[in-house]
Amino acid sequence: MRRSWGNPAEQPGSAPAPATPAPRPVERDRRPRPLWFCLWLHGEEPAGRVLGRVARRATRFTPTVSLPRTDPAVLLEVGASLRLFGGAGQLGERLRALSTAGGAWPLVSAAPTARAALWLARAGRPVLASEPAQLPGLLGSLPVAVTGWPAAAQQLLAGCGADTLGHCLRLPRHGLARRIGPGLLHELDQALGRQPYQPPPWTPPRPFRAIVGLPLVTGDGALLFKAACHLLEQLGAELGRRQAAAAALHWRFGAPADGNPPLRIGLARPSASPGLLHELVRLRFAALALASPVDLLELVVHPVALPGQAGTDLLGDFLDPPGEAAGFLGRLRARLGADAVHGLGCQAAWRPEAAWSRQAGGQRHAPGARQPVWLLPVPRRLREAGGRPEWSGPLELESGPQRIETGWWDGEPVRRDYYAARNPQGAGVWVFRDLRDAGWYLHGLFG
Amino acid sequence: MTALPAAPAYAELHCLSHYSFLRGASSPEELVAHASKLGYQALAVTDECSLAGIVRAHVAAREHGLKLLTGSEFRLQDGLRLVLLATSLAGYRQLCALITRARRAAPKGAYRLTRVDLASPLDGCLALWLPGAPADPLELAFLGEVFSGRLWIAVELHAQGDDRGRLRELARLGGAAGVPLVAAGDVHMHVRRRRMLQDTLTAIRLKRPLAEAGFALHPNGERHLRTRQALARRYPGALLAATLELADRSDFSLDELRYEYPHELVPDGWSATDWLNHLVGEGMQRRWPSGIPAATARVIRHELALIAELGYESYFLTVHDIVSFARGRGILCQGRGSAANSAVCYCLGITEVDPVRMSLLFERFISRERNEPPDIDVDFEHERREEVIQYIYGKYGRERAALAATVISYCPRSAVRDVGKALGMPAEQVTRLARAIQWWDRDGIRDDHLQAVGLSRDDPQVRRLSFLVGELLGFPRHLSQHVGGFVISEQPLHWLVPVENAAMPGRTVIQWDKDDLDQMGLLKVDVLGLGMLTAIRRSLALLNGYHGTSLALDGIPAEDARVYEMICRADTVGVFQVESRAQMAMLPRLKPRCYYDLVIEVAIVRPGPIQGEMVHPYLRRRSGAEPVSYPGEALRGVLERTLGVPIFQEQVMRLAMVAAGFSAGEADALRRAMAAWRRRGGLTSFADRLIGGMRERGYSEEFARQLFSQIQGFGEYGFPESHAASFALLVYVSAWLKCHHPAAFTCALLNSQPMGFYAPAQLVQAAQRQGVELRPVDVNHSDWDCSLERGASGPALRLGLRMIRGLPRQVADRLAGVRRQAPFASAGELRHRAGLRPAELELLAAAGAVAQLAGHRHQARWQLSGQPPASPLLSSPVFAEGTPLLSAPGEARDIAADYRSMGLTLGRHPLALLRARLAQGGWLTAREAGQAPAGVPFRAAGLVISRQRPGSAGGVVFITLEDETGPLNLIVWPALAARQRQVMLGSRLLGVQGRIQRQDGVLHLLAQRLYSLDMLLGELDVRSRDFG
Repeated sequence: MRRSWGNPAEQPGSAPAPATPAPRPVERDRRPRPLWFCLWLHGEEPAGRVLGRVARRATRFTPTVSLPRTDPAVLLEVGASLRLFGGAGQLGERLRALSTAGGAWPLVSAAPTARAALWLARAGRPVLASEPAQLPGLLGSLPVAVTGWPAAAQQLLAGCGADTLGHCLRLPRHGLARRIGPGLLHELDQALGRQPYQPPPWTPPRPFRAIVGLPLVTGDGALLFKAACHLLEQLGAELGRRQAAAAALHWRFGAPADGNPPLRIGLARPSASPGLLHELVRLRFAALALASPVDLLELVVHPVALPGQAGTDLLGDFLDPPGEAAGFLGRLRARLGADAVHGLGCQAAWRPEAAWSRQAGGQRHAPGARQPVWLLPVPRRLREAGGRPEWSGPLELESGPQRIETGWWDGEPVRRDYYAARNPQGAGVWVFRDLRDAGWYLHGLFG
Repeated sequence: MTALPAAPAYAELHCLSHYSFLRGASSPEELVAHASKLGYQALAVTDECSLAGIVRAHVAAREHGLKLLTGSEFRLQDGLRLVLLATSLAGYRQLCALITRARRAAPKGAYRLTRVDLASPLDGCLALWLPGAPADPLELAFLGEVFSGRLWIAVELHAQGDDRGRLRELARLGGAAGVPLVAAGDVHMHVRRRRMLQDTLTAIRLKRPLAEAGFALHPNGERHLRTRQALARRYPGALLAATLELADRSDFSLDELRYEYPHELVPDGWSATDWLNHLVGEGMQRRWPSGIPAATARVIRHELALIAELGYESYFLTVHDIVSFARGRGILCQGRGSAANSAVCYCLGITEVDPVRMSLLFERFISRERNEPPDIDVDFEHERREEVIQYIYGKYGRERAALAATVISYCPRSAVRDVGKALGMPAEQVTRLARAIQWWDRDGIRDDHLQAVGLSRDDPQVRRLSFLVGELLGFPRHLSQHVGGFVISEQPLHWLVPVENAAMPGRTVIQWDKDDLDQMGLLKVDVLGLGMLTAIRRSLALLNGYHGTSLALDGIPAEDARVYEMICRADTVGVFQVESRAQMAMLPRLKPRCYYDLVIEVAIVRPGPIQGEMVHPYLRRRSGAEPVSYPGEALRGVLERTLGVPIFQEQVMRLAMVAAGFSAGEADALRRAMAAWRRRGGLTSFADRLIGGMRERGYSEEFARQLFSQIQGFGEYGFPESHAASFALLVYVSAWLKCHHPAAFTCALLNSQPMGFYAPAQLVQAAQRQGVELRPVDVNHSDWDCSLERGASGPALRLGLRMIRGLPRQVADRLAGVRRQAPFASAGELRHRAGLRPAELELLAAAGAVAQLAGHRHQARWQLSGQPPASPLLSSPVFAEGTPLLSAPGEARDIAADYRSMGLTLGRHPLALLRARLAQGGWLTAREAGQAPAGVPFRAAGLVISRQRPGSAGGVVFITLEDETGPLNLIVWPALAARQRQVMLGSRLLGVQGRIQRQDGVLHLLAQRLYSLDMLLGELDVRSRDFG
């Protein structure tokens, strides 16, 4: 059986979309008409940074700011604030100035819909069109490519001779929908204002900030820690709400003398664990030595994405909480200072210098080194007597040689014969004879 | 001062060459030469599960007088490692069989061996256990049982820290098991300084940068051929002495291999000689029905006698059998190369060159002195060659027939890519540098390559890259299958050489390449594919189908004057061999008027005659501008055919014989040295003998040196007369077809693509110039292939669906099948009936194949889209919808769509559309260039259709442009080519400012400045064909 869903009388695409409500005879809508500006930014700086800066400044003019995912552009809806800023022309100039100050050379376009403003900007047309009636004409002259539609759809339209949006609008609406899909047609309607469209709003990343006043002026760490606990509770709730973690806690101590430097407590890895955060703060506050007593405590945290959601591991619930080792490291750092704690890892490499590395997190590697664990940072040249190396007396070579000739590819080649040796005191050492200068060197000590 | 230890005698028993791909860092020749220099008693080449390098090692060992042991290293699936050494012919066969079994059980390039496989007979082999660290006594116990009395523990000490401990450990194990110890080197390179390359090979093998290769790299460079003094310091004397004992126990040499050709082609009761004589007798009757000339009969008797003396009858019978099979199937075939020097081959139908018309030099084909097998190359239609290959496999079985190998070696581009990655250079940088190296750059990385991508030799990393690329160039990377060289034997092939799987399913290759086969005296028959034979057969079938005739190859009239007139005009697009730019430039100067002129034409545009400066003297003599003379009366017979100027390989050989006193075999040795001197050198001794010999016989030194220069120029590219003669036959046949049946000929060429020098666009334009009516692709008329239709004044050429890029054949066949029931009345009906997928319908619409049904391309695209695909089970729903009035595409758009979809257009040439804009810019046409006087400055622009940089042209690049008035040839001198490299190589539409050059009626534009005019082309998809 043949089914026909087509409408023989269907009109070309300029017919209103079904979702658009028919105009009703209501009293005049006094709400300001929307007007979208698009700032298309060219600059030398990474687009992300400039965009963020411009977007932040743009919020002075309107709360409705959006950053399209795919373009170096900022969209902002200014209909409500047009009169305040002296009309579209003046506002456009201010926005241009704002972008220029932000380090970018903008192309500014404006249209009654967000999509139209963006597409005009993509086409490189600095047009300021405030009337919806202008849209079909303006958009009609744009090439299909400004839509950013999938290549297959664009190729199909080109194959049918539809190079511009105007050509597309002249095609039968249902036929077009069948060929490129209703979603793209929907976008076209949105650009023309026949369908509502609000691009996702941009919200500036916000730090967590909380202050607590102390009941008394004090420099006592234990008392301060109690106050800090309130702030940590608030932080915990906020992190939970945002599904985020803290990488560092910034503490500020306020008044009366304000002479205390801020305190930064860094974490081995970002965490949202209340227990861990409390423990770290407790340890650091216990060792706190303030220059002057304080009556205000402020906590500032820039939340970061939570690393790896717990519970995704098949056996994760039955294993030790992953925070434990990190917590231990954090505690160690809290006590000894961040720079004093690091991990060691083995590298598969013949050159002893390259066979281990200092690692922040202490990741484990398969052992592969055949050398003493204790290596000198730099091999030490040994004295020789009678052709034999000396270190606290003449060395007795016990085993070897282990010849290492490698590392030519990174500009630090070695050619050495290594020996295990012992000095008269019985200390086991690892020495080598450099095959290039024939000198003897101490490189490690056996335990 | 301690005295140097006395150098003990030593034989290396474990040594990998670079045929252990991406492990060994030295060639077999380097290893043998160095082992000999170090005074080793013997050297075992033991590549991993391979004997691919053993022939080269054998030849080198013979030269150096070093004893060579044949062996192989293996790693079993469970990790057990051992080396097997053949002690006798039987052991060698066992080794080959084991390698064959391991290689056949795994995909190409890999092998698979288990302990069970070692249960096969290996009593002719000695075994060396290569213990791991720590050594596993169970492995030793297993091997002790398998190789009782023939097993040693290889002690390989490389200064790895506790060599003494290692020696103690192995001695204890050996003592307990009663297995003796022997010293071995695990040699990976001939000298220590190859360490960097060896590390790099390891990184490439692991596909990791060197910095991440870790312990997979060797800790030091000890795995080289160490001096005997160094070995004496490292090993106890007894272990070194044991190496000699093993070496003494092996007295196998590759010279013992005996190869026999299959015998089964001889009927019972006949000897091979008699049967060959009988077949040749039949052939003589067929070739010369009215009686054979006495001289030719003498030649045939001489050949048959030599064949019998050397025992090659079965080889000729085998090739005859293959050729007979092809003929029986209607597959066109023709022998090429030196076999055309044989009257016996002509009688057997293997070749087509009539010995009466030619002066044959049989010694070029078979020589008593050479002691090397003849090599018969037969071209078959390229699309039906597989039938012949399967016939050979079917007849002899996979045990006895396999393809020869080709060693794929590193070229500059692949070397840069692999070394760059190994050094950890950024991928994008490596890719750009590799791309900057063009197809003609054979010497590695030059400064201009580095500059082009912003690198400098001041950077140590770049210096490392450059050094290593230089080292790696020419290193073998893997074995591939020879293009068509079959080895067939009476016995199973793996008695002679291991056989392994090729990448192509159902193909097997032996581990030796062509040079190895020559060395070992194995006969090979080259089953080659030639596109022109396919095109000729198709042309004949098309015109016979159209005219209802039964014209065959031998029915084509000889020496047709109109054909030669066309050739003299260089109207030869599509004609075999003489269609290239250089050949076209030669045709109006040489003006071929007969078959033998074509033989010369084919051979003269080659590096040999060009570098030997023989071309211009020949042309001058031919035009009468210079008298024909001979360096001596004795040489008249040799040089008369070519007006006193040596052009062919055979003439050079005869010259050496007549003028310098070479024997036929010596002359052939000279020819072989000529072919290889670029790679191996070794012509100097011949130079002295040749020049000296000629001086003694009264020839001028100048002539002698000129002749030698030509011999050098011949190099790998020199053309034998016999080869040119075979090719000239096809030149004539294809030219005759083009001249008299251009529609059928063009149709056949299009259906045989890819082949030849020109793209379909040029073939179609050439046909249009000849007045052929061309019809577009059309779903109601086109089959997969292009076809002939009745036209107003002769056959019209209908383009086939095969011209549409991306359209699968089965789609086209299904469409044609459905259409046979009834033609399609509308695009909707096509969609409904043909059951094609949306993407396939779009390809048809984009190619304009539905334009007739829909009105034009845009309508077709609209009508064929937007519908759900037809389902085989349910009748597909059809959306009834009106067709909007879409604007028809403009001419430019149609042309661009044609090029995008098919790479050609039947409409106007794209440049016709741009002509007004080009004229504004002062760019003139190819036709105007044809009318311009020599020496005037000229500006022309055209689509780049080919770029060539022949090795013999000293860096000159030849570019062919094309506009709506025809082709235009450019010459770009090396300095300009270097200066404007990017524009020259990157432009699709090239503007050229230069001067007109005319020589003997041949026009060139000498480029002085190049401009890229690509911006005028927009989206037009034109592609050039570039040749080295």
